[in-house]
Amino acid sequence: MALPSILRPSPKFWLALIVLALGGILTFIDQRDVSLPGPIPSDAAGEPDYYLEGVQLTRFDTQGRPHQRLETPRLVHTPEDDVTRAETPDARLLDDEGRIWFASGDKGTLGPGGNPLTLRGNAMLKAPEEGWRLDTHTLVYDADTGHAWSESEALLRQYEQRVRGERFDAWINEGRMRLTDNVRGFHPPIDEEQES
Amino acid sequence: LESDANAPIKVAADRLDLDDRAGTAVYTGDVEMQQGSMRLTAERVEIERNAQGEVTLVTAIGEGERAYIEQKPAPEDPVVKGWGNTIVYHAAERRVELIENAELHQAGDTFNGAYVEYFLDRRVVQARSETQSGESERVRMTLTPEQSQQ
Repeated sequence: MALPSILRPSPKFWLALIVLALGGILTFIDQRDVSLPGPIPSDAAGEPDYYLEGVQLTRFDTQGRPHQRLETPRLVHTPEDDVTRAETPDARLLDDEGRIWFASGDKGTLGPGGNPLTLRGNAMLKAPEEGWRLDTHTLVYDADTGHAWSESEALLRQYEQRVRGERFDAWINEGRMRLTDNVRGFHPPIDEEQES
Repeated sequence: LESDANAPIKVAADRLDLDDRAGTAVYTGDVEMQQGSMRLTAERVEIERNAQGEVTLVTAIGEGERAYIEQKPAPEDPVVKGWGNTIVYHAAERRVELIENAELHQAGDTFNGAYVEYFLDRRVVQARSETQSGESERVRMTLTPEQSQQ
């Protein structure tokens, strides 16, 4: 027995029902996409006031010139000590002649006021053009003075040459580097085939 | 030894200073440099490199005591020893200059003067009584006859 026409739902009713159902499905899909934020880092320095992910941070000097760029997948700032902590940071340091020095490490921190930059774990610094590369555990860079130094044994390489020392210093605006204490240099001749 | 020229240069020192602008690498503090059988000691050693970073010139300066160099020309030959306030080693030419207060001992012979030049591979010695900077010291040679060297 067919329903009387009054009781039979009108096409508009079915249309509304379909739209509602679609909206529900889309909302459900949309929610699943939101990647859950990383764990809130707790640290001796207390709760962070902010953290950023997928960061490219450029810092400028008092004359408004960029002097340091930091790329990191994750950066956290804690107000208590005004320290910024970065994961696997890649840094670019511009010297007074506009040359770019590359630095990186497993972990990095920017001290109070954003200086110094400290890189810990597989810390590396590459001098421009000349092809020098430094490897150490901990490397500190003071942007105000353009002075970088290692707090651990350091190995400096250029082409086939390598020199190690207990401590490394670089004054990037003057293009000067120094290794001190127990310095051992190794300067091999360049093979003819390699040279041609 | 002939193999010396292809041996790596190894250096031990208290400190190394690199200056990209000046293109210099200066080792200081009890510096000891070795390349095969050649050994050089001094207070300060400046190394010049070519574009590939290869060592081309070594300038060793003594402070307090003279710079010192020794090298074994051949397995059966005695070690040749040289001293000077400054010693310059030209890697490509295998030539050593002993400058001021220069002294060389080669197989029983000795050479003294303001300037002594020694060609490592040809074992040729040249001595002068004056250096380019005008320092002068008479040349003195003591040549030991073959028999008494055996």
